[in-house]
Amino acid sequence: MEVTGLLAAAVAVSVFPGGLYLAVAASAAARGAGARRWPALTPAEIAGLVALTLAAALVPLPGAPGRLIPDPGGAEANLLALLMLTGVALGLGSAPRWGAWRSAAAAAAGLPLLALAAAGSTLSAPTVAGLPGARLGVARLLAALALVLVGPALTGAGSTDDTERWGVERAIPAAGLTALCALLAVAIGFPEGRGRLAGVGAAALAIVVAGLVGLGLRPRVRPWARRAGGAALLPALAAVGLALFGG
Amino acid sequence: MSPLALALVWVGAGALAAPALAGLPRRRRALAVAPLALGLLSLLAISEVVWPGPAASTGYGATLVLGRPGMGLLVVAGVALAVACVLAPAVEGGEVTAACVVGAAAVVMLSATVPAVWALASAVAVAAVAVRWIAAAPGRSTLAMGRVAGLGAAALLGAAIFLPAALGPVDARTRVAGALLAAGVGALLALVPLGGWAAAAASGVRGTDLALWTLLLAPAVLLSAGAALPVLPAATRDAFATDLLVLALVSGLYSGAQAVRAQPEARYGRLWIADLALAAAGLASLHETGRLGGMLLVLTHLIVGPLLLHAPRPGLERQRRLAWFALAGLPGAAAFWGRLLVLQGLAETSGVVLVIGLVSFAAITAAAIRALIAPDPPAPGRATGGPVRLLAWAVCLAALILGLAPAAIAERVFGLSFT
Repeated sequence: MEVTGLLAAAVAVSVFPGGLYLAVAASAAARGAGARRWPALTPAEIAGLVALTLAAALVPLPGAPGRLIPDPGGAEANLLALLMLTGVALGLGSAPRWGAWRSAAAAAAGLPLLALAAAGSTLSAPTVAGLPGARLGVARLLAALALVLVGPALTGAGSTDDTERWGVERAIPAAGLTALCALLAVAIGFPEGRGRLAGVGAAALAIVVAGLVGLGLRPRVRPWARRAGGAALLPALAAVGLALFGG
Repeated sequence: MSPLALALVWVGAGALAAPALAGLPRRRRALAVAPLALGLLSLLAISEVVWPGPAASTGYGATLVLGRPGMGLLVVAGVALAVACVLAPAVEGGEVTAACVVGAAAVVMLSATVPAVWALASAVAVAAVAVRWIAAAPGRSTLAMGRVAGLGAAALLGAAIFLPAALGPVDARTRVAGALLAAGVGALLALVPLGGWAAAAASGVRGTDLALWTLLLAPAVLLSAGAALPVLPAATRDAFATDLLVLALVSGLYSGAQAVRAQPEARYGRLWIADLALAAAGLASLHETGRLGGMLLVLTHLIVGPLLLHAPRPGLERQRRLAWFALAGLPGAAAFWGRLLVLQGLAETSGVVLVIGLVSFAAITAAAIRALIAPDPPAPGRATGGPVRLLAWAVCLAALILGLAPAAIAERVFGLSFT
């Protein structure tokens, strides 16, 4: 990898769209969830947050420096790496129990992205986010909608009896995951090629979306958020159908 | 040293190794020196940077020309076989003799410039593995290995007969040659529906015996088939690649699902078969990224295989878990890069092929993660000695380093550009 590529990767991981930016988005989600304190994290949760940060660095938001990294540099901005890292973050930093709603939410989050990748015959995250055409555009929007809906359900918050551990009091990893879903949703659904200002707008929109999605982590809203995560299968399957069979 | 001389040295070492130490029942593990020395001796062989492959007889006559990737494979496979012998609970001696014969055949396979020579060398290698497996563990699976893989080698020989005729216009014979090649390679790589023998052997044959196929024969077949593809006549190549791709994709799905469901003691064998199918799919995609991904995947298994092929032993639990981490397919782990490149090769082929590849990838990853988080069953026997534990740590370290610098290491091993 050349020096500029290395620098871009470092900025992507530490500043935007990972690191500081993810922290801001996660704070918005945590505020939406009503979390008031930041308790100490377990080593597994810290490792999960590291994986989450690396995953966020691969999110193809407009203006992300990761998109400047030259192609032969490796697996950067790769959809598979992004999903795998998110899976690691889920495994390490979220509730251990996987019920039916949560599994449905996970399927609703991942399947449309993979179907879009198959439709574009690519694993490049920026290419998937910018797939052209009305049909694939609608599929991208449906995938984004599914991602917005699944955020709180995916974290498993409230899915276990151990509410002290996986409730709002432990909302930091959950907020991070929720924020990542919001970032991905904006990256997939936001139209491409509208210039730098649009990039800034997308980045701000992602934080707002993260805050709104974070509302789903509130104890009173959680049961509904869980069902919304399962219901996200509908737009997700529609996106899969459009991407794979719509042509 | 010419490839022919190298092959003769492999055979000679096999003939001498077992009888030389037969009278020393407590020193049989020292036989591991033989594949190690022979692997390192391959460095002295004359190798060509541009490897003609086993279907490039024009301009080469029937001479043996060892390619740089083949030389790299022989070195790593020799070291891997030696490590497998040292990490094994017990070594009989006969497996080393068989390994030397298979190694000699692999040298010829990786140096052949005539399809018939390649096919005959495959047949010799299959015969050596089959005789050893049947002698060590007589049963349906080992007999099936001799039968099915032997038929595969025969199919390759049949393809070799049809190939010269295939240089002409497209006709039925070109299609037959491609189908025979796919069937032969599929049988030797244990692809569905020709791979039942390998799945059964994965749980019925001891690790050192299984290593003959996993660490030497299968990688040699994969590498040589990859070299043959570009120089085949177009019609034969297309038929070969299409048939092999279908077999490999179905096999990846089936073996991946089987790996998830497998018992802990058979899980690595199943996973290796699934990864081998993925590597074959990458090869058959006819894209360079897919082929290189397959080679990287094979290299990963050459490193972790010597540790995971054997049943769990007391004292090696942590090392085995780290080796499973290297196979888990998480970004930064060795197997991830190989699978990623294969999937990129499949993506360049078509979206449907990519979807099937992704499902296989998911199953393989789930199987590896299941092995990673589920502890091995308690192993009977005494705790392994310090040197063995140290060697197992070295295996883990090598796998981790491969995950951190996959392109640089694979380039050093195979002499090909991975960037």
